[in-house]
Formats: sequence, C-alpha cells, structure tokens
Amino acid sequence: MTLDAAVHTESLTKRYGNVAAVNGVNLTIPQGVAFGYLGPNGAGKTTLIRMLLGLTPATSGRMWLLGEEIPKHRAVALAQVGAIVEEPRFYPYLTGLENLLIASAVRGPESKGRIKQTLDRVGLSEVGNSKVSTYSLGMRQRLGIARCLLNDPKLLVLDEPMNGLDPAGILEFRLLIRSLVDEGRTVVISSHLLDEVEKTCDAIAIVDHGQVVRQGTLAEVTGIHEGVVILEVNPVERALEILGGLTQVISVEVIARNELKVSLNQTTKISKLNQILVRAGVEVERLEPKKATLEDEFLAVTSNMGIK
Amino acid sequence: MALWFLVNMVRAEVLKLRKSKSLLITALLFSVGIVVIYYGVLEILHLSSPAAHGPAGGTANFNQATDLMLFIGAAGAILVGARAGSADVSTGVFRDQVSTGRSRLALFGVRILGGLVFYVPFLLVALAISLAVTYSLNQGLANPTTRDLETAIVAVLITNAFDFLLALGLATVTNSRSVTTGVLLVWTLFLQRLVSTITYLGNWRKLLPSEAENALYAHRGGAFGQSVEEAVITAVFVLIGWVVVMLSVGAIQISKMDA
Repeated sequence: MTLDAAVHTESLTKRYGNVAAVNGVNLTIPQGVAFGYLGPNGAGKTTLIRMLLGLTPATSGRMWLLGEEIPKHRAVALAQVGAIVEEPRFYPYLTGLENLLIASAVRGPESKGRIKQTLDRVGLSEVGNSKVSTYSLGMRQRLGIARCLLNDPKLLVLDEPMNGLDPAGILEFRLLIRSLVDEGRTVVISSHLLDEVEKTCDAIAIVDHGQVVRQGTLAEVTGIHEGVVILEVNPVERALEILGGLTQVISVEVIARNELKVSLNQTTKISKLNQILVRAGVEVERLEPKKATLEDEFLAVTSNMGIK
Repeated sequence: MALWFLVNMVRAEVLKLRKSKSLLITALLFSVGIVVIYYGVLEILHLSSPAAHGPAGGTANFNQATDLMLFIGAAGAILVGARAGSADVSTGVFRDQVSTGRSRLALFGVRILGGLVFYVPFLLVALAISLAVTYSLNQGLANPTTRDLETAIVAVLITNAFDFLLALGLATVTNSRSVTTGVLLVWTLFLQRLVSTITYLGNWRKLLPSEAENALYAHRGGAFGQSVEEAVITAVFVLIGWVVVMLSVGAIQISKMDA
C-alpha cells in the first residue's frame, strides 16, 4: 500500500445481496490535493465513502485512511478526518452554535475552542444563534463544513457539497476548498457537478457500476481522450478528401458550412495538419484546437448515459 | 481525557433534550405538573369547603401523589427515553457522530446518562413539592413515616428510571420515537396490567415489570395492587433483567447498524 496516501483501497467491495454497489475498487488519493470522485447516480460513490468512514462494513478488500488501516485503526484515522455524507444533518430546533457545541463534545477538547473560528470561516457568524430550521440548504452545507473543520482535519470527505449553493456560494465554496488544500489538507469531493470539479480539483477518479474506470490528475484523465480540432476550410470537399486519407485522423465531421470537426490521435501535431492541407491547395481560414473536457471524458467512460 | 468526553457528551445529550420545547413541557407536566395540579385541586376543594374536603397534606394524599408519580411519571419517562434513544438516528446526526471514530457503544452510553440527568431532577422536584405540601398543609393529619418516605422516593426513582431505560433500549432498536412511545405506553400502562390478571399464568406473572414494581412498593394501596406475591429481591432481579435485555438489544443494534 501507499503509506503516504490520504486514501488507499485494494479490491474494496460492498455487496447488498447479489448487487455489488462497490466492486473491487483500487483507489489511491494522494495527500494535499483536491480530489474529485465522480460518477453517475447509483455508481457507488456514497457507498465507498460510507465504508471509509466506518458507517457500513466492507464485504471484502482492504482500505487505509492517512496510512491507518480501516476498520482496525478506525478511531485514530477518523480523528483526523472531517466528513459530510449525503447531506449535512443537524438538530433543527437547536442553533448553529449549539449544534457545533454538541459536535465538538464528540470530537474533543480542542474542537470546542474552534467553534467561533470555523463559523467565521464559513461566513455564518451572524446567524450562529439562529435555529438551524431557519437555515437555507446552502447555509446548512456551510454549517456542515464548519462541523468538519472542528477537529482541524488532515482529510475532508465531502459528499455532494455544492448541492443547494447559488452561483456566488459555489464560487465561495471553490475558494474555500482551494484554501483548505493550500493549508496542506486533502479534500475529497464526491460530486456530479463536472464543471465545478474541473475548476476545483487537481485529480479525479471516475466511477461507474461500482468500479473505478479512470483515475489520475485532471490533465492525465482528460488527456487520454483524443484531441479535437475545428477547421474552417475552402474548398471543404478537397479538405475532406485529404483528411480522409490521413492515418493520423480518427474521424471527420462536417459541423457547418466550411467547418469541420476533426479528431486526431495524440501524436499528431496540429501545425503538421495545417501544413498538409495548405500544400494540397486548401485554404485554412481557422484552426482551433478543442481540448476534451472532463464532461467529454465522463460521458465517454460512464455507461448509463448510453454513449459508451 | 476520558472524563472530559464523558462530562461533555452527557452535557451535549442534556442540551439536546432540554432544548426540545415539546419534550421539556411534557417532562415537566408529567412529573412536577401532575403533582402541582393534584395538590392544587385538593387545596382549592379544602379551602372552598373545609367540612367536605380535608387538607391537601397528610399520609393518604401523599400516597395518592406518589401513585400519580409512578403512573403518570412512567409515561413521561417513556417519552424521554424514546426521544433520547431515537433522536440521533432520526435527525441523521448519528452518521456524523460515527464518522468521528467515536465508539458506538460510548455514544449509546451517554444517551443513557444524559437522559437520566435530564429527567431525574424533574422527579426530585415533584417529590420535594409532594413532601412540602404533605408536611405544611397537614392540619393535624398523620404524616408519613420515615420508612414511607424512603419507600416512596425509591419507588418513584426506580420505576421511572426503569421505564426510561426500557424506552431508550427499544427506541435504539426501532429508531422511531412514535413507535416506541406507542408500544410502551400501551404495554406499561394497560397491557401488562391486564396480563397480570390472568390467573392461569400463575407465578410467571412475577416476570411482569408492573408486578415487580408493585412488589417494591407493596403497601401503597394505589389503583393497581399486586396480583401475585413477589419477594423484593425477585422484583429487583426481574427489573434488572428487563433493563439488561433491552439495553443489550439496543447496544447490539447500534453496534451493527448501517449509520
């Protein structure tokens, strides 16, 4: 195993009867990064998190948090972890402050001293004395983050943390996550908001049908997909003829008058393509590399969108 | 450090229960409230017609007030136990508590202590009011003996604590306050008293908590007398047995359940 990994799993499996919610997952999350854990609904994201946090036992396989094996050294490991699973829940008839006071009692003496500081950090100081039942979903999400920070965790595991946040809240949240990572913490975000994960995270894993189908840095994962180039050419028929004869070209699609979408393999330089077309008498009026997005990759490797 | 956790987690439990207005009012009404109402009505009747109604103090009224604390107080204890046993899971906070790495059994243990710390003061206040009225408004009526007082205090505390623990254990299994309250109110206040009248069951009726509780306080002469003679030591073991079984089932459930 990787001792310095924030999270490491080996053949981790969770079965409910005949259904494998998590199926032999091998996952390594390095320390000090924002890590996106992506997958369609029902892919097994939350189940994996629940196993890591000791909320449900694994059927088989092994797992480590911050180098401590779970469940053997669960107490030691989880004392360094802050987590929100599914959605943050509180006693609705208590104030935000009282909820954190109760949460600090479970965590330890130092946690009590951090209550005010964590409320400040998530921007809830002014409503700390209001009952949680009056909070919006976004405010409860932020209170959940405050609760996570009470024990000054090395690792934060946040399940769909951007649910219910408005655009300004999402931006604040993104900045908060980056500031937590800058402090040396690891933040694992399970989410279906691909655009936000792409903007926030350094590395990702994509899970589908209980299995990790891609993992690595964002550049590594999106880079696996072939490059795409948008060309504006004249005459388009001559360009199609030339491109169709090139081995470097995977596919060509006419997307508008004189506009082609060309998929190239990784080794092909775009300048080379330009050179070939110009030498063949094709006027290249526009050449725009279109990099594969996380969404492209996600849709390509997950199966329940019917695209694979 | 262990003491810090114990003290602060029990405080947190009490805060959770104390801040629930509905529970606070119910606990107050079913303990202190019922005693205040009982003596209040007696004293008003006495003041309005001294010839027809005696004073609120004295042994007989004290015994009646103790019966109320045993009977109505039990309902209060069940409501508090059901709340203490199910609140964390029903609100979803239990998941957060478990994800801190804290022992599930420790979390269960502080529910017990927190609930008792919350409810017992209500009972002590109710007993104190009862004693104050008994002695101050007796107007020459006989006062309870020291043994009467000891028996009443022990019976009220034990019976209420028993019902609280039973409710807490069951609520941990059902994770539902309403189901627990409904089942136990029917069982404690009615069903087991009906079962105790089935003479065919013979000495098996000694296993009923109501019979054991009556044996602890055999001379109270309240609404429900003993159906079968039971030694105090047997009664103590019966009550302990029920508590051990219910709390064990609750502890197993909380250890094994998916949070």
